[in-house]
Amino acid sequence: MPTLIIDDREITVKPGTTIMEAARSLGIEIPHFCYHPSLSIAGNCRMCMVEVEKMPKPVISCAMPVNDGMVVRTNSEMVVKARRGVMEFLLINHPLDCPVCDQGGECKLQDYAVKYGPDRSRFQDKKRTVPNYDLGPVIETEMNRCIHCTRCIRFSTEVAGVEEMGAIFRGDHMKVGPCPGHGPLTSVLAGNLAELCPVGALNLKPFHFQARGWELSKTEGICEHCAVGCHIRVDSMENRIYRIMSRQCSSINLDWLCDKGRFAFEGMTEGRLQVPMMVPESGGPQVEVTWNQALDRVAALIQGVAPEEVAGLAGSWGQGGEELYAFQDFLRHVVGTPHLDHRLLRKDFSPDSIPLLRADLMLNTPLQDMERADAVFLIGAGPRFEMPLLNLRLRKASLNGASVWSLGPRHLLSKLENLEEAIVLPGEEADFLRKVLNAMTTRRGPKAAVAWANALRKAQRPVFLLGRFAVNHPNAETLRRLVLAVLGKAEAVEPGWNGYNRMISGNGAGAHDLGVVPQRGPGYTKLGRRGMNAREIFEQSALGKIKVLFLMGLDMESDTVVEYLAAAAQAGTKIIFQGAFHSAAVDKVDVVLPGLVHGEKFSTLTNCEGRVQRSGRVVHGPIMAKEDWRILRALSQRFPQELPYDNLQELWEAMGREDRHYDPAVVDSGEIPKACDHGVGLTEGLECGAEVDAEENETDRLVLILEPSFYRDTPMSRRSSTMTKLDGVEVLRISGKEAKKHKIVAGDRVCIECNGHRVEVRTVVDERVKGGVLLGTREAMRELGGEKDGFLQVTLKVL
Amino acid sequence: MEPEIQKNLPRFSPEALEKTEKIFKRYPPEYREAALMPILHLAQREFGGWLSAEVIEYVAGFMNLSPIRVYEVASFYTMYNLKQVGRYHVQVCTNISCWLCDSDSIVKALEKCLKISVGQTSEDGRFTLAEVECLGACVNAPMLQINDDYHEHLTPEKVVGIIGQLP
Ligand code: SF4
Ligand code: SF4
Ligand code: FES
Ligand code: FES
Repeated sequence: MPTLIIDDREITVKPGTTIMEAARSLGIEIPHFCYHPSLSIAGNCRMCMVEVEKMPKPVISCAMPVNDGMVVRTNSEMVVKARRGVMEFLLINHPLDCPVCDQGGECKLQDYAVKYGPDRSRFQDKKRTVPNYDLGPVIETEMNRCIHCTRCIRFSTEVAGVEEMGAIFRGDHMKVGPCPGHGPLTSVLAGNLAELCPVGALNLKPFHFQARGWELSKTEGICEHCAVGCHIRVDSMENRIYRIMSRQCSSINLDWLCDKGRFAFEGMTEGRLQVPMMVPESGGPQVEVTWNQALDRVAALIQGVAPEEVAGLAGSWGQGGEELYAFQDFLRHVVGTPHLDHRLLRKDFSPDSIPLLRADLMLNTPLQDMERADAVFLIGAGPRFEMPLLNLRLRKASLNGASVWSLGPRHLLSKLENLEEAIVLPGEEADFLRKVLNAMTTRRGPKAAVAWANALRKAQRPVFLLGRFAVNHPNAETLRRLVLAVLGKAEAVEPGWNGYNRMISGNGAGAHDLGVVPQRGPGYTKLGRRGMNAREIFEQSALGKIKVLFLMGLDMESDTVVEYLAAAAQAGTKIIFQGAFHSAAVDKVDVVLPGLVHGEKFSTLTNCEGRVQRSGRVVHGPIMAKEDWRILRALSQRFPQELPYDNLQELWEAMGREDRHYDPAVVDSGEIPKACDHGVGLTEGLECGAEVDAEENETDRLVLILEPSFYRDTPMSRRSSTMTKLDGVEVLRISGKEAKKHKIVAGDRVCIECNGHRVEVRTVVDERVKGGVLLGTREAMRELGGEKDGFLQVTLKVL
Repeated sequence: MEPEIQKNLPRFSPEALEKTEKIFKRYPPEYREAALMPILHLAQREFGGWLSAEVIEYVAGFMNLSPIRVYEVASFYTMYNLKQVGRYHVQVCTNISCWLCDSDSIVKALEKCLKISVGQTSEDGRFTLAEVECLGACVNAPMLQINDDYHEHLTPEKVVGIIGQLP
């Protein structure tokens, strides 16, 4: 291991380390523009020059590997002079824009110019000008300011895998930008370009001219928009959030954020519920009431029926552990009903009788380790749009040579290399996995299945990922067990490697941990009696058997929810809604209790690896709205048994007593909690589930698969203007075969019908969609009503 | 968010496709993208002497590269034309040897006789006049190139003659 001296300090590093990295580990900052710890080395800005003894000229530290006995100086006369020269050249064509530049105050060029640059320019000629580009709703360009560091190009190519930026023309005509005729950036990671760009050439468009960096107060937080749980920094001023930036975390999000995590917050102030409302005793539309009136009414409604006739449903997205815990505590111990759930889109509840453990429900391969996978199997998963930052890890694995195998109803736009797709009709997934299982031992079967088996047999670090489609599949449990069975047959697996992973959405992990399910209490404790699951609750309330339905933080625009609630209201079920966003369905409920959203309250979020992280308050919500757990706490005062916590600390302690992961001493210790620390292993020894018939494949049968749109799948993102702009045109994807059969030409408008509902939509012919399958976005086809048991069977007419 | 329908892009003729096969054979299979430069050249010949955005997109698809990678290469080399050129692409060398032998007068003569200045295309679309760097014919400076042909040992009078003789 080479030992070297940097600025009179000795350090021993791994061979191959660069001088820059060695200096950084000593805490010595060498000025740089093109170097970025998460990108490849470019060595083109020349700002990082240092003096190395016995070398005649300064060397660039970002690209120079260390040698034993090197003596490096980062601040010698030679270095200072070299830096000044580089700065002078960089500033030749740089506009004097700082006063009107978004980057001002947090710009490397500005800082270094002050620190190392010459105090005046000797350049007499005309500066060159470069045109700007329209890169879509996320990125604003001012290309005159570009210093050609190529970070944006390297990010797009290496990390995002969407080659959209490039260096065009050459020499002093070189420009950084997209290809002519380009559309907006599509990487779902575009915001990172602005964060990466060391100068003000690429800026965040929504933040353009909104504030100066130094005016904003910066709060550390956790992203709530998917279960990756990226570390974020929230920049706010005067009770308004201006932007969200990434916070480096090597085990979770590296240096990046996805565009949803960055801009969905815009929706947090739109369409909020401001005051408690309720339908007066005499009927009619809702009226504004005081908190006391509203809570008294809720208590009266609940006390007016038997505890068993009350049920609760919580949303998994946007709910912190605090309210999830209080919610189940309230229903179980204050009201006394076992009926509560958060799994609204689930179709298969069969494992509830076992029931599953923590490791069964979440990732078992830490995100960081996914990079090292050598074979990735995606079961009904589209990681790029389900968890963008998880996909980056898989992409790294695939770039390192891992093979990627996908099973599902559609092709993936995953930006993964070496991808082999097994596209099967919905319902046939289990069948395929069974063939793989068979091929694991017999080495025989259909070609695709044998290829899977061969890859898995060799794999030392396989990763199986059950995605959203598999989790909400009618045969979800069968698929899950088959995955376990198949994995069990893999023999080359490294000891200690667990390749079973199940994706989870929103704070679903927190909801499971804290017991917002009918089959388990908080901390996965066994219960004396299992309550009704989400499906049963919905159905029983539509039959009037559940008389009071308490909803917390549900997506009241979700097609499934809206339809069930309408049926429940018809049956006379009283509905109480506690949440933050207004919608047509909220207008119809009996009592509305306005709550807060992430960023306005403390929330504890559990990510897909089971890490429990806390995010603080940044701004205040609507004046009358209240922190969600406090609403439940206040409500419980109207019952004989009160919730036993008066402040956050007590609540956190209560949570910690139920589940060790929530122990405040651990969560608030400042350390990032351990990933995949699930304790007891997977539930083992389960049969693979009954043979499910692959549904009959009649010729005319058309299955519509609805996918949530990445940018608009939650109430908050739907209200964000940037998300709305990013969300593409809504189309229906159809295979060439099917298009021919129905005489559809790409671009035709068609009408889809299902259970008496219909929608019109434009089609796109996409050869990678399976015949018999239509692909649409959930948001576009809301009118069709949600899926309940199986898949949506539709008919298609050309208009 | 997802790619839209394929546009109607130009396509290589069967003969050109045959040529691409030959070009690919010149490079090891794992460096297939090395064939990009000759293929762009072929495309330029095939599609009217210049590389439009559609052609670049087609070549990108053909080579399995992203359009920006192709555009980077096409814009780096001046011999790929990114703007439409006339039927005759007149490229006058004004680099050192030719300049010493008075290439300025050649440029002037051309500008006068074609009634366009450097960088322009005549209204009838016959001529495009361009200044280029050394074309490697310094021994016979000054010189110019019209499409694929070199014309050397030039004088202003000769130039007018050459232009006049073009069909
Ligand atoms: S736009 Fe920014 S990140 Fe990209 S090359 Fe220019 S300075 Fe670097
Ligand atoms: S990947 Fe998930 S957690 Fe990370 S920024 Fe995007 S939505 Fe937030
Ligand atoms: S940081 Fe080393 S050359 Fe740019
Ligand atoms: S300088 Fe004109 S051909 Fe070389």
